[in-house]
Amino acid sequence: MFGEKFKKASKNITVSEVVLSETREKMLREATTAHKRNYFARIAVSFAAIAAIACASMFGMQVISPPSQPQTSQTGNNLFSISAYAYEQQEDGQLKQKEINLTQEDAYTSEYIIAIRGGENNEYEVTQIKMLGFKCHGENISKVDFKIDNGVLKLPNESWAEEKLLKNLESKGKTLTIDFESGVPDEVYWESDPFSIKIDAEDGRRIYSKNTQTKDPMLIPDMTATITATVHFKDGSTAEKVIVYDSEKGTIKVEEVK
Amino acid sequence: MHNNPLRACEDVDDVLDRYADMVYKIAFSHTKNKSDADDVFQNVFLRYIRCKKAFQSEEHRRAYLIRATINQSKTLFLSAWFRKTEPIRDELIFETEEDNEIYDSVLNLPPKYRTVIQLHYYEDMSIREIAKALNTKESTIKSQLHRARLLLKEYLKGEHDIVW
Repeated sequence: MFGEKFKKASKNITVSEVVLSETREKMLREATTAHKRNYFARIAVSFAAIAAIACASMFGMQVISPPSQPQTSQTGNNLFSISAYAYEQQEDGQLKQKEINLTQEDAYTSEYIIAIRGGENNEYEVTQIKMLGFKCHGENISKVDFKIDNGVLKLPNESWAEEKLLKNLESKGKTLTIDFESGVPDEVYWESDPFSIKIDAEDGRRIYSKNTQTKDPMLIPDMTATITATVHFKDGSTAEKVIVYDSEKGTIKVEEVK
Repeated sequence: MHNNPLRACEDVDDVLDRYADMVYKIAFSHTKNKSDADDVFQNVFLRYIRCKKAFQSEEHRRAYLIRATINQSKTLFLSAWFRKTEPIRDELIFETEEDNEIYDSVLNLPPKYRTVIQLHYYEDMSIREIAKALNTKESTIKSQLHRARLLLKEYLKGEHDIVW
C-alpha cells in the first residue's frame, strides 16, 4: 500500500534533538516571561541564546486607515489606477491582505524581521525590511514602468502563494516593466533595503543613537522610498504616479499625478 | 481545553510530544531542506506558545498547528525573495532506493498536493478532517488527493509494485 510505503520512507524526516531541545527551551522561556514583556521584547528574549537568527517572521503594524480607494487617472478612453496593499499575519498564522488607502496618509506596510543579533549591553539589533504590493488596473494600457530609488522590485510567479520564486527582479535605478498586453501579472512587489534598529531588551523600545526612545519600535526615522509608475497607453500617451513612502512622517501616499 | 491565555509550561512538553513530528514533516515537505524546516519548526511552536487562542478540542489545536506550519513555510519563501536565493534541496539518505523514489516523488508534487498526501497518508487524517483543518471544502481535498495520486502514479510508473 502506498500509505505504508510513504510512512516508511518518511521515517528519515525527523527533527534533530538539538532543534527540539532548543525549541523546548525557548518555549519554556516564553511561557515564563511572556506576561512581563511586550511583544517586541518577547522576540528578543526568545532569541537571546543565539547570536543571529533569520526568523523570517512577518507581521503588520496597526491599520490606521479606512478601506483603500485606487488612485485613478482618466484621459479620454484611457484609464489607469493603482492600488497598494500589505500583508499582516493573523493570530492563527494566516496571512491577510490589507489594502492601503493612497488618498490618505497611511503608514501601513508589511515587514519582515530577517535577523536578530545581540545580547550585549541589554540591546538587540533587529534587521528588517518593508514590503508593499502594487496592482495596476485600467483601460487601453499597453505597459507600466516601475522605477524605485530604494530596495528592489519583484514580480511574482503566477503561483507565488505556493512557490514564491521570482520571475524577475530589478533594483533601484532600473526599470521594471509590466506588459499589460501579455496578460499577467498585474502586480509588483517592492521591498526596501534592509535596515537595522536597536531594541532595549528590557522594555522592547527602540534605542536611538542619542539614547532617546520612542513608543513605537518599528518607526524608522531615516528611510524614504519613491516608487514611480509610468503608464503607457495604446494611443502613445503616458501618465505617471509617484508613490512616496516616508517612514519619518509615517506616510505612504501618491505625491503627484502628472 | 487550554483556556489559559498564556500557555502553561506543562503544555510545552505535551504539544511537542504530540505534534513535533507532524509539524516537522509538513515543514520539510514544503521547504525541502532541513535548515529551513528547522526555522519553520521553531517559529510554529514559538507562535503557538505566544498565541492566546483558546482551543476547543485536540482537533482544533492540531488544525491550528497544520495551518501555522503551512503559513510559516510560505512566509519563509517570502523571505527567500529577499535573500535572492532558491532553497537548496537536501540530499536525503534513505534505507532503500524505493523509499528514496517514493519520498522524492511526493516532494516533486505541487505544495498543496504534498500537504494533502502528507496529512492523508502519514497522519492518517480523513478527507473530512483535512478539509476542516485546512478550512477548505471536502470536494476540494478529494480532488487534490485524486490529482496528487495521478501524478504520483505517473512519477512512479512501472518502478514499484504499489497498491493505491
